[in-house]
Amino acid sequence: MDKLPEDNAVDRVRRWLLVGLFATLAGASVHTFLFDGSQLHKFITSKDVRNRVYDEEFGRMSADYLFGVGELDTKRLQEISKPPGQAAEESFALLKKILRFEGRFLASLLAVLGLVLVLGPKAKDHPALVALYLAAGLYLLLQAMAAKLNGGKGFAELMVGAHATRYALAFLLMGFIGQRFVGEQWKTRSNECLFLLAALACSATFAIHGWEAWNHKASFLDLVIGSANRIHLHLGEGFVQKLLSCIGIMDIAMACLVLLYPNRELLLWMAIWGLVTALSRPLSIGLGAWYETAVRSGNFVLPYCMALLLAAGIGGPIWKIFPGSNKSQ
Amino acid sequence: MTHKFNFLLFVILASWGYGEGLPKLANDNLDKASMAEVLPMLTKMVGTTPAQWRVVWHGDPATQAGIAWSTAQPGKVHKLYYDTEAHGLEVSKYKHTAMAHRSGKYRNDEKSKEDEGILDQVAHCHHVKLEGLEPGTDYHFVIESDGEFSKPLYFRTAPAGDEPFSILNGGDSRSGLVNRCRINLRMAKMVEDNPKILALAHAGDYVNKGNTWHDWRLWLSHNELLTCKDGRVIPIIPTRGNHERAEQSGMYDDVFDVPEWHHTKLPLGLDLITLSSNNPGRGGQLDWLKATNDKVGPVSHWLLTMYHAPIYPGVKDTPACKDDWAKEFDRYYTDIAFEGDGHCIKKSKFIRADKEDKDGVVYLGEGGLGVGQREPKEDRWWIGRAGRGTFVFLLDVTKETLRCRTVLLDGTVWDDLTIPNKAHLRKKKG
Repeated sequence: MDKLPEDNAVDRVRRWLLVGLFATLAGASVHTFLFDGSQLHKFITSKDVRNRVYDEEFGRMSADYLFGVGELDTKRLQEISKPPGQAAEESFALLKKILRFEGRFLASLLAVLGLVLVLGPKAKDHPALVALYLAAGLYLLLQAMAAKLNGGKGFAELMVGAHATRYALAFLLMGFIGQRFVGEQWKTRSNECLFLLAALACSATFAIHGWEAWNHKASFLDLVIGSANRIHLHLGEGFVQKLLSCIGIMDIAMACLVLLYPNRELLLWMAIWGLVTALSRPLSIGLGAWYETAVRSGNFVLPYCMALLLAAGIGGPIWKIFPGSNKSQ
Repeated sequence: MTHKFNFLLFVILASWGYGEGLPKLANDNLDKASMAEVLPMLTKMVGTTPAQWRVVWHGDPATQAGIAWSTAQPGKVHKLYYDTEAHGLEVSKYKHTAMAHRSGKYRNDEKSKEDEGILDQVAHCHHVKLEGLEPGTDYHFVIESDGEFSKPLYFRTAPAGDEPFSILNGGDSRSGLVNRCRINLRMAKMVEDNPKILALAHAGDYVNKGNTWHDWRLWLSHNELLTCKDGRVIPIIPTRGNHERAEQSGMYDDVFDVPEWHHTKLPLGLDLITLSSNNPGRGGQLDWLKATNDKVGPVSHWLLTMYHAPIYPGVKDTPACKDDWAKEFDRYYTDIAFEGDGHCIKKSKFIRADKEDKDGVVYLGEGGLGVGQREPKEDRWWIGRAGRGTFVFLLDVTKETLRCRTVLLDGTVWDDLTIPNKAHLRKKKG
């Protein structure tokens, strides 16, 4: 990659980030439009239905009684024992309402993002886009938090970090618009801060995926075996476990290096690896799972954008750009 | 006069229509049971009083069974008195005794936020394995932990002959706790009314957080309601759900003490193959499934499978192992695949080679033992019928047919499906 002028590099990065964000949201919206709703939707509706059928209260009363802490409040128990038919219907109606609202919200986000993509440079600095990117970033961040709280998925407790490359796309785009409001003398500095934000997001995502691979996450095992099967390569579970251990070490090493010693070769390898792992979903499951690749766009777009920035001389190791470090003095 | 006549006609037609509505298994009010009456039915967790008992099946339930229970305090001597005759609490009269082969504190592996403040309440589990039992026999038992006794209980082993029998299937009891208690009462009532029902095959997601004592303590106590009025305990054939994740195996293992995937041999040549959709579906588990199918497929009169995450889902998307598992189910003409996870009622079409086929597998699920229900996607090509409700499947097995009724919480039969036998196709394949 030849050395790029700073502005040229930033322009290209912003275009890629926009494409990445559009793809991520398109991938994420499939669960809302076609399946059982997003993680956030599941979290809200599950909370609602559990409240309506007094799960927490009845659970507490059961436990107090069973473990001898309290006496039975029969009056209250009778009240919460009312047939939940109506509550269930009310909750179901709310569920549908939220799903409809979320669908509209996502459709609008995608439409505006699509428009920005088409209009290109004409629209890229419009201040209203800050609100758009903020909404997209918060939405993706809340999805990750909801996935953590919902549980039921392997390593769910690490979801906020694992999804960092998704919401970072939106926050980085926001940051680039924000540069308009800082002086020209701070431009390079702010570019470096955004590079650091991207590095932190990549590091979190790669480290957590590495940790999951090291622990032989069941779905990873299926993806490797399934992808290998597509090319008529039949791998045993024992071999794949060893392979995943190696992949885990590699991912964690990349997560460290991207912060400590980012270089173009490393970042391009991370981008290729991110793309390969994202493609393993449709490769293993079938093309119908395209959205699994789309939603992981950040995993390859972000390292590629970092490589572009680095090619323009923006960014570097964490200790050199971290606010308060020698370089900033 | 005309109005009166119209009104009378309407009343007659409405009554007739009502009479022609969905059939009911029983007319009771279990769907409205008050928890003020239900909670006192449960055993308090005090000292070494045996509580939270369950009978667990896998392997050959005509001759084997696992019995597990909990005590608040660790205790020292954990013993089971059992006999084919009832002796009440006169433990000296029981012909057999068995010591717990495994005892210890439930492993809530991760100290979760939910467990804060109740860590001193984490109970102790005790497991007894019974072998060499007589088929089709009532085994009466009393549990003793350090001189404290359970009430007299019993379970029935699976018969060995060609006697018709029934089993229950359901999943997803991780929320909707009031309805979870009610559906347990419903199942106990169904067994009281039809003693040929042998067991409940549970398709997983017992609790919301499978690594917390906070959630399991309630499920374990509410599960006592799977005990009939005369003390008959309904055995459970367990499956691991995604909320009992594999990397949190400690607690699930302490509750059931069964392998991750297993084979249960039931009467009338019925083989139930239980898989774990939480473990890799394509590695060692698939090899085991293929080997087990090769072993039992050609001789199986009825071939059933059960796992948690649906491969022909009514709500969610399909899992990665779908093609491999479906192909394997097709290979020996599996009759029914029981699934959970989606929180809806689903009956698929008969599916073979990923298309509708009269010799195909019917996929039934997706969990309603308490949980709130989601909206099934009825426009998916594989959906035969779908809906919502707290429900359990009642599977009647005879030599000729499998009849599967979907029974709602109020006893209404929502769906009634009969499946002809395909053993000849399996034999041909073998």
